[in-house]
Amino acid sequence: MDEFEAKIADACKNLDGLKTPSCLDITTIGRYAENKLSAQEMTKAEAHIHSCLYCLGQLTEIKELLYIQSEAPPVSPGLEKKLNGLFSQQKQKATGTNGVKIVIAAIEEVLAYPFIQWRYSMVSLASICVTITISYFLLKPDSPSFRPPVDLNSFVIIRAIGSGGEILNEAQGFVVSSHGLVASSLNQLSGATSIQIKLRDGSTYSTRNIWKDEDKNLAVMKIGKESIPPVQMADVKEISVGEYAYVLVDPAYPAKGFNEAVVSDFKRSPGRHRGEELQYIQIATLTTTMKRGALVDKNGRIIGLLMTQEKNINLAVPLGNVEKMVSEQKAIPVSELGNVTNSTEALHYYIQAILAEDAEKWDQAIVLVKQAIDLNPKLEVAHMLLGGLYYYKRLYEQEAAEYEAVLRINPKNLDAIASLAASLETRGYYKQAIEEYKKVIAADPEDQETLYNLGVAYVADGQPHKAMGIYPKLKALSPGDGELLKRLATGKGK
Amino acid sequence: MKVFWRIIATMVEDIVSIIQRCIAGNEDAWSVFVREYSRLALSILCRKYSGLTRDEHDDIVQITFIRLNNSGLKNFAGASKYEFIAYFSTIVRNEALRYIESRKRRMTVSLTDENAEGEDDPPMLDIPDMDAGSRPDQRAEGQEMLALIATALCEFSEMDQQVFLLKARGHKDKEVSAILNMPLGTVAVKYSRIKDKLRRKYFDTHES
Repeated sequence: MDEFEAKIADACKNLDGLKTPSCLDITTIGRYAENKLSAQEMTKAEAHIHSCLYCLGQLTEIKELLYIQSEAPPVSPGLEKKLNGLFSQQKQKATGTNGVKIVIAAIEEVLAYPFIQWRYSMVSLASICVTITISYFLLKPDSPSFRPPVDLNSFVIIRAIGSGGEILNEAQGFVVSSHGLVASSLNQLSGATSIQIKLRDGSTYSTRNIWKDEDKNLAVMKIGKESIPPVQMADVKEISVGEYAYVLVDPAYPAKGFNEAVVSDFKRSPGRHRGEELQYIQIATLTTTMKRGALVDKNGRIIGLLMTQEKNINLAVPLGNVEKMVSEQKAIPVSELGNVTNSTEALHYYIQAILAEDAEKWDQAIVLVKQAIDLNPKLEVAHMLLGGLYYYKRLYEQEAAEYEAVLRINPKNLDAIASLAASLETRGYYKQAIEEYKKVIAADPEDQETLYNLGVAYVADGQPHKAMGIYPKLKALSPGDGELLKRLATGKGK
Repeated sequence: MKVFWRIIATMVEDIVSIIQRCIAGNEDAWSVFVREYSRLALSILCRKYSGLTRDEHDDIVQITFIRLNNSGLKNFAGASKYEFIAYFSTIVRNEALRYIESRKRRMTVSLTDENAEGEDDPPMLDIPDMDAGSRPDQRAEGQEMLALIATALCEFSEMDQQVFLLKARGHKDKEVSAILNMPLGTVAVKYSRIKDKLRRKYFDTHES
């Protein structure tokens, strides 16, 4: 450092003499140093500092201090402790002199805290807002829940009236046809001597005759009034697994809304001959408070009627052939219904047997279905299922016996006849099998499965020309099966 | 939990409200203040008074904080952190000077001298630098020099001015480059350019 530099340094040591009234205050200079001024203030400050050595000196000092502060390493814990101790000594002194003042000051501090620490409060407030917003979007319930457009006027309340005129039970029902047919759950009517049907407009009808289907836990009643609009039926064939369905909790209180469910499986009739007719629709649901009621699709059309109330077994019965059932069967008096608890129990075992069968637990399924038959020997489907299970176990004689039991209950059960025929054919009784098949075809000439089986039976019985006789008919219904039968009959298939 | 709140407080609070709370008797605020500013005090001392030992630095920091606790914080009238930093650094420097003074005195005067410890709370003074402008002729020359510098600097950019001033006040190139956040080479180049210009001007006026 030469002499000249020393002179400069001397001169720059004290710049206070250059201070003018227009000089900037330290706050402005500090904000300028950290680029925190607005653009307008910034240019103003820049212009001044550029021409004022005093302010420049202040600026460099502030910059240096800010730099030191940002780079300063923490002090040793011992020193920090000592410095912290300074304060508590002071405070104790103060407490000793005037306790009341300190208490008041403390209260004041608590009250003033959010205002003094407004940044703190704002940050807390902002984080609370953010949390609420995020949780609102994350945990947003599915409400307003989707409501299928159901015409509630088609729904009725079914009351089971006991012998003394008392109301035993109330159940949900709905009008299924324009002839005034009302469908409901059978087990709800247990013990009733007459049935009262209450419409939504308040009018009530009484009936003493019902049609019942124990397999499906279904009761159908007829009321005199025909002007009630029937519910719209969904075509079960158009519904696919995975589709959303909704269970109407209580038509009397539409506000209770719908339970959401998903169609998870279709159950067809058990036994060897699995007809086209759908027996049950299985649904999966997330709620545990499932009620019995109507199962509707998203357009408000009825898919079926829920028949079970177990948490994890939700089955609905399709109502496609209610009118057929009414026309084929005779109505029975309600009082003959008696105690249907047994049949409900039987149905319960039967459903468990179906699920066991699904899981390929044949032995367990056999035990369950036998329990069902014990409780209700007239449960046709249970016999059919047992027959099917015996078939899996290769017990053909017992299988045939079950089908025969079904035919004793209901000689018109085509599935049973067809299954019996198949069983006979398996055991080599081709002629008897052919007779049984013919019965089925007489009742249902378009049953392609039975037609094909009949053809195969003919071939097996050594009458291929008769098999060729049904070939054109089968070909019209199912070209693939037709060709297969032709090959068998002409011996080319081997 | 308490530590967590203290960290949050350091992040969101400004020094003015911390000081207000310290005055109100809040111990948490004091510890936040201590953590933030004791390191600043120590750093200032290390940089400016590197001749003193570590223990002496610690002593000065302690005296400074005693002073602040007694009356220093209450006397602070500013409203921004910059004002407080300037105020704080002045106190630290004053305390350091006072400490050095007392040490000198202690060396010469016996240790039993009561006055050496000073009063409990002496008035705050910006102790002037005894070397600067002690003689009238020196002072006149210094002011002439200052005027020359002031006019000459106007021709340079503000950054160049800052480099010059820091260097003139005895900072090393390395420090200047760190404070102004610019490369080391640039500092040297800028300073020598301004210095040459000043030298030329100075000799121009003095020769004529």
